[in-house]
Amino acid sequence: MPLFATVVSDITIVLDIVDLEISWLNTGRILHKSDMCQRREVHMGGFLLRRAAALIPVLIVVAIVTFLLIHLMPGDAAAVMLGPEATPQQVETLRESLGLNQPLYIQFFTWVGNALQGDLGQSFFIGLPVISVIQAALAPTINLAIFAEIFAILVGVPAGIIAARKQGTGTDQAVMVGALLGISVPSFLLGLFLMLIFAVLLGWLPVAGYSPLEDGVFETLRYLLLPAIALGSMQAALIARMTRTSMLETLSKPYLKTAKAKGLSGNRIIYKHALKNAAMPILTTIGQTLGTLVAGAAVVETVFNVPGIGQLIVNSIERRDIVVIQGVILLIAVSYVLINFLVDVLYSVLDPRVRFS
Amino acid sequence: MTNLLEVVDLRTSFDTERGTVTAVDGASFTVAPGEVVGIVGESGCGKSVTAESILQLLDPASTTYSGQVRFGGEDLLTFGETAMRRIRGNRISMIFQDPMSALNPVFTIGDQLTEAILAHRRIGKQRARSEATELLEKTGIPEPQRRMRQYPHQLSGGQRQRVMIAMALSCDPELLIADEPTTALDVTTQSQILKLLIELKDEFDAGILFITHDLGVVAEICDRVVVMYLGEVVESANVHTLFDSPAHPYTRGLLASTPDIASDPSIDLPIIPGTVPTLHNVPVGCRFADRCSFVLPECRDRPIDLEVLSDGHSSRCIRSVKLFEDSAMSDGVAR
Repeated sequence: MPLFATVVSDITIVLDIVDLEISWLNTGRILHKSDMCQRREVHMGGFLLRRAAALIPVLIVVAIVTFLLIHLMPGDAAAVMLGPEATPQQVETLRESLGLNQPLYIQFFTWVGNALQGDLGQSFFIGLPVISVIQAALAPTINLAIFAEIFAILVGVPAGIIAARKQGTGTDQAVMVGALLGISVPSFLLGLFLMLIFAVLLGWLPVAGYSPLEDGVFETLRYLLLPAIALGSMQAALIARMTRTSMLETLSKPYLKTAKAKGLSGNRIIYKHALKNAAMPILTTIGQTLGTLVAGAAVVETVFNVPGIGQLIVNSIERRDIVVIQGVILLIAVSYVLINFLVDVLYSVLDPRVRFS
Repeated sequence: MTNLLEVVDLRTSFDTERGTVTAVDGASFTVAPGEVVGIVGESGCGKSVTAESILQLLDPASTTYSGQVRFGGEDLLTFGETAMRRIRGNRISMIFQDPMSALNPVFTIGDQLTEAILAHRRIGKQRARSEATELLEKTGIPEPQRRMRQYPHQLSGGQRQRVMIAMALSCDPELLIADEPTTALDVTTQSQILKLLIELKDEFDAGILFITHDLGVVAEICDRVVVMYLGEVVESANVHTLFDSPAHPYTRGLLASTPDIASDPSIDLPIIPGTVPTLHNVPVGCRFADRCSFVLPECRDRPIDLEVLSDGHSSRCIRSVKLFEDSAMSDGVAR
């Protein structure tokens, strides 16, 4: 399906651009020796403002690319949406209602203006505002993503620390093989296996579906446990590897010898003195994986029939509901930017040198 | 006077990919209360490993210790990790070479000092903080209150080393091990830090084991000196004896290669030829033989024993007595 390919490549392009912009903004920011020597104290509020201001150009680029999605598709958007059976009159009417006949810049400003007011247009097929369609699908996805990320952190960070502390031993190798498996096994396959074992054979958990939070947190967790593991195992593996690498680098640092010479216990040295120093790359990985979780959710939500954003994308693509697709892409890109901003802020909480640079 | 620390035949080996290497091979020396003992030698001679072996700071997975480290009537090498923790930072504390990397960059000075105090003493956090501030004041840091809230990167090198000293003294230790504490500092700061160490040593009545490669520093602050070469103690003497009549060719070489304000700048400074061999191919006989200008064929036959020349002076050289007596050969080591 060419439309699917276009949309997927569009999402990738948007995320790549966001990444590029962010990394460009970040160059020369962290850990510059010259910065570290400066003893000027900058207040946290000023730091946050500067970081937030840096988001504006990124968001503008996101808006432009997302907006252009409709125009980058091969052929006429209205014709694509209506399919081959549509009459020229129908196509013309739709063009009119979508505003496709107006000059591009007017369309863009109208679209941005509406988007800023929370109006992402009307779904042609469902007949509802895009924003409410997204809202309905958002809760399951957010719950799933948070659950998956919590699982990934709870498994990945301790596994990485253990591997680093026992570097070169069987434990280390076991963790690394586990991580390799976590990265290599696709989430849908893992999801199907989990479903087969824990839902079908053992009957401990529901096979598929979703129960909203209003009906009880425990019920939601029961439904989301298997999808979260399927979705989070790859992040867990990535986090474990990054934790191990970062910890190994930190463990050889002289200040840990100082900590030992002070008479501190091994656990205090590892979990207080080493982990806080090793946290930056781990945090970056967590931030990045959180962004890709949404893409991964599309697959896992389909396998486990969770009515979330992922399923909404897939269904919208099948329906060629471009307005909804556009809204979802904007949402994903903006949340990606905001997550990166959050990671940035966390950096400064963890490492004073970032704050003072 | 009973000794504070008695290191007897200390041997520290590491397992490496290329086999076991012995970084410290049978080192023995003592430190008395209030005494400053220097350990000198080139890089790689095992002086830092000796220092860290006393507190067992090396990676336990790959390090083996043998011999004795007698402290307070007990052998520290028989202590387990928990017992060692009560010694470290409490009765024996340590100052490291580079105060930038030895302080944790992500915690404030106050946190790191307070933590050192709270690790060994059952007092409240508030009291620990006020004691930490007092300690900082004692080390002569300006504005100790403000420093407590600052991070290591906001301090200068000398200030950081003062923080390390305050941390080391926080539990009133009996022995202070200083591993090249002035090497990373500029010259004026160096002398300030040395002066501070000596002042505080007298105030706290602690013994100091001072590791350095700088003979100028040794002359300034040490009472006795232990010279190490490739993991072995090659000479040990009272500081005056060592500078006036060194008995080992290596010590003579070190002394001759130290620049002097009175020396003629047009004449090249004598050097010890060659470099320290690696621990993977330690010579059978005298370990210094390949670089020694007094070498005899029999030097290479078998390991040389440490020979006592006079009270408190010993040297690991078969020609010690002759070299010691032969004052005419003042600096005949190198060309």
